[in-house]
Amino acid sequence: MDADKSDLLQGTLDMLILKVVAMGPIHGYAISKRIAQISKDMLRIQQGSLYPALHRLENRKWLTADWREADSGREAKFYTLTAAGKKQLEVEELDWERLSTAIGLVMRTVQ
Amino acid sequence: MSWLFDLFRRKSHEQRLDSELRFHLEQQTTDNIAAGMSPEVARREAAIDLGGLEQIKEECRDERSGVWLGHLSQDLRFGLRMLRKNPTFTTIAVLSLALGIGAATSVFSMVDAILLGSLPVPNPQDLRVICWSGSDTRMMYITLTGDPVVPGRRAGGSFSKDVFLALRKQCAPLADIFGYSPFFGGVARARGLPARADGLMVSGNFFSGLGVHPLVGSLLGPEDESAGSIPRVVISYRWWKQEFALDPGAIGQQVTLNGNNYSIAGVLPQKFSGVCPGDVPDLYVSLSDKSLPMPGLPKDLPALWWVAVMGRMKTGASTAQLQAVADVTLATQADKFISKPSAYIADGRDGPFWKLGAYRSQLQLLMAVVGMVLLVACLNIGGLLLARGSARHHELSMRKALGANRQRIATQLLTESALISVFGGGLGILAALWGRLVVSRLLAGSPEGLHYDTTLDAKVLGFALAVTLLTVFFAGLLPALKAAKMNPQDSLWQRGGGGTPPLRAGQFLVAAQIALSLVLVTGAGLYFRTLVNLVSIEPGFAMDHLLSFEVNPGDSGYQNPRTIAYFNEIQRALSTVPGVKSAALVSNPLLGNWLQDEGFTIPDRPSGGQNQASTILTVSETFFGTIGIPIIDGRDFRAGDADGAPKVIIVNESFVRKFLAGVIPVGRTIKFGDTVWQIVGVCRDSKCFDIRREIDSTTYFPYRQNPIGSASITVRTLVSPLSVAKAVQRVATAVDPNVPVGDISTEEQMRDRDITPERMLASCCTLLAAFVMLLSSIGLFGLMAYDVARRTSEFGVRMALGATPLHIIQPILKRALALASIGLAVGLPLTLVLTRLIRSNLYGVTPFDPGTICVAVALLLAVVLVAAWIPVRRATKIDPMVALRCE
Repeated sequence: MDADKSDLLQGTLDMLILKVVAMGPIHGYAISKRIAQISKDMLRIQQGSLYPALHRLENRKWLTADWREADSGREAKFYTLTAAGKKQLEVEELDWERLSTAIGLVMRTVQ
Repeated sequence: MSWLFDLFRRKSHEQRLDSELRFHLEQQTTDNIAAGMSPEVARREAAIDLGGLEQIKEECRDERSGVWLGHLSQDLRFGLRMLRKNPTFTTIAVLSLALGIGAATSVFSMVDAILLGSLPVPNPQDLRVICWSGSDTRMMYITLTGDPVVPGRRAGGSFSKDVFLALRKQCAPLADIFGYSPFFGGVARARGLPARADGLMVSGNFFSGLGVHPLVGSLLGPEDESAGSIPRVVISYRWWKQEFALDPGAIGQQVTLNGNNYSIAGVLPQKFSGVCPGDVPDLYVSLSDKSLPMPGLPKDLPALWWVAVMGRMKTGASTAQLQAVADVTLATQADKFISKPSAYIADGRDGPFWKLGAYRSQLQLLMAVVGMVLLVACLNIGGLLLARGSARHHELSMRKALGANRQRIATQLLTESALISVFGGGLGILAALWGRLVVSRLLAGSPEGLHYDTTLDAKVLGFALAVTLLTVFFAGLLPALKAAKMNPQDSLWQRGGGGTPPLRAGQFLVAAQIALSLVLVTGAGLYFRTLVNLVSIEPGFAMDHLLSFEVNPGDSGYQNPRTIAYFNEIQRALSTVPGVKSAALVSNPLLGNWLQDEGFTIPDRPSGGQNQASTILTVSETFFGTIGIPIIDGRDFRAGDADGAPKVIIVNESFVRKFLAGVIPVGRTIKFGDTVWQIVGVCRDSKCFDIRREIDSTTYFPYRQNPIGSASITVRTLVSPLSVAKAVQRVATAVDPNVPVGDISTEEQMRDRDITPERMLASCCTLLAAFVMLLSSIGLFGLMAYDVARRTSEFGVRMALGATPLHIIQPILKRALALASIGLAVGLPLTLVLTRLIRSNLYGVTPFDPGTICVAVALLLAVVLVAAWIPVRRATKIDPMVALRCE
């Protein structure tokens, strides 16, 4: 398969989903498209793990879902960020920044 | 509660999940078509991108809360269906667990009541039991609730009233000291007919010291100790219920006890059952009561030691301080009766605990036995599940291939074993309702059982539940883990020969069962030998055609010389009953298990420092003739050996051997207390008290010269003793209807009652051993049958190639015997270690009895062969053509 695509780091899928949903109500298929699009196809998301992740976030009350008409005119399940989800996203972003800074530092030092 | 709500919305959830994923697929397909793929390719690419639809759905479901509940109900339904499909397996598993759990719960309920329970009073840890020890004693000592054992010294738990009062006074700053003394078989009458009742005589501070409060009315207090007070009685809840049907109006009513009137002061709470575990007194009267037992002896007699003493420590006081004060008190007050006296203070939270010593070892033994039964039941179920798990290899592989994860399969299998355990545990608790009565009778050695409150309380039920849960994991975990670890491809690709592995774990389980079976079968064999030995003991008199019962005219107000007249009359009246040869009187019932010792001195013969004491029996002149104990020297008692005539005694051979070796016994004089008695005869040795005991040196007194208040009347019959029992009872009652006639029993019944514990232990152990053996054989049978089924095609090929049935049988039987040998090799040392623990319960057989062990080994080998034979026969009946076509 494509060697230039990275596997997603463990635990970052949830953050990516929250980030994407934060831009406005969106259904599952669009989320997978959007992540691929934003990451310029650099990230490989197992589509199979997207839906369990969505259900997990919904169950934790970070997302809510409702059924609306999609652009195609069919009913689709749209996810929206909740207040708790927003807070969680902030926490995860902060953690991520700290982690990437740290890793960047290590890599530079070792070089 | 949203998960519950979710559960009901399950269906719509499923639909929505489905449409969400379908929407994804359709969108992807549309996009793919837009990108130039053909509709068919577009749909396939979309499906590949997304992955397995069912697997994703399952994972999504897993993310929802409440999913475990959905799984659980699924597992439960599936488990129940599987159990219904295999009724034989289910029945064996459930029944074996029910028996194991039932037995364990029964024994535990007794352990709980006897060993773990404290007295039902506040702060039982502050209670102490006070006893004494000394180098030598000179007193009339009455053993009440068992005596402590102090190595190298004599020790006891009863005090004289004077010493008790002195202890109470001297120790008052440190502890509240109270005393009590049980009485048995008083004649009490409330509203109904007079009946036998047991009770306690207690000091005025007994109830306040223990911290017991009345349920109704009031309890005895210090004022009840003074001589002028109106006698009052406190009754137990049980007696209140029995005699007054819980009527609160009972307070103040009259109760007659041994002919004297008492007024009821109050009722004790239901949970208070006295201080002696096992005995439940119904009546509590004052310690200074004038009329109760100690026939013929004033209770204030300094030489009469009859009061048991306990105390409650005051705050801040230490046991060491109490010990010091009690030591000084004994040294000044009791030195006349005890040489070098000192106090012995023990924990009193369980009451006078040493009585429990006997029960404790028996209970530990029972716990060990039922523990082994439970273990075998678990091993067996584990083995069956394991074998079944292998038989279900294909089913489980299929489920795994279809996307079930390991955890899910393991939970499913555990749910099945949990279901078995729940059914087994439920049945076991029901069985325990009955089983605890059996255990109680086993311990008491009587059909009435111990007077213990063994309701199945929360603690006991908790125990049953814990055991049940443990068995789930013990029996179910191994098969569940094994099933979870298996690789689906192995099984799906290679059905048939070699597809299912040999059960290594199963072999271990079967060998362990055989090892434990050997222990139990040997134990049962040893008990059985003991029972046979006990039944065949010759007591030294003919037991057949003897009837006896007890009378206690002293309790009905008789005093000498009226008592003697009563005894004369009852013997005369009985000897006229048709079918009765002769009637006799003896102070202690034969084989009744209780005896009295009394110290004596022989003038002009030094004691040589040894403690000279003899068992004493008071008998009528017809005794030796009626019972059939020959007089081998001198003469028998005569009616003329009465008041005014020279005081005479008869001794047995053991007495002569022990104390009068080398001299002519007849004509010798012996001093009991201050009275001089002359030996007029020597009788043959006989086991009068307990058939297990060695024969004691015994002295017989004529009842006209040594007054007694109660006696056992023994009748020798010409016809079957039970056929005249009714007539004997009628005639005996007619002598004086106010004297209740005790239960009439034959001497053989007395002997049987005497060996009840052995009989019950033997039958219980035999039953459990048979059960365990059956389980082990089922386990082995299952393993062998599995093995044969697994190798069917191999046998087919070999037989097609010309192997004879013998070639097929040999390796299978060899394997069965190898397993049995391993089990026996492990079991034998285990047996030798464990049977040593029951040494004290055996009679006439050593714990290492080679005969018993050989029989047990042979029995187990036979069972193993039978269990292996059926699968072996099936192996030889395999038709090569059919077996090969199975491939």
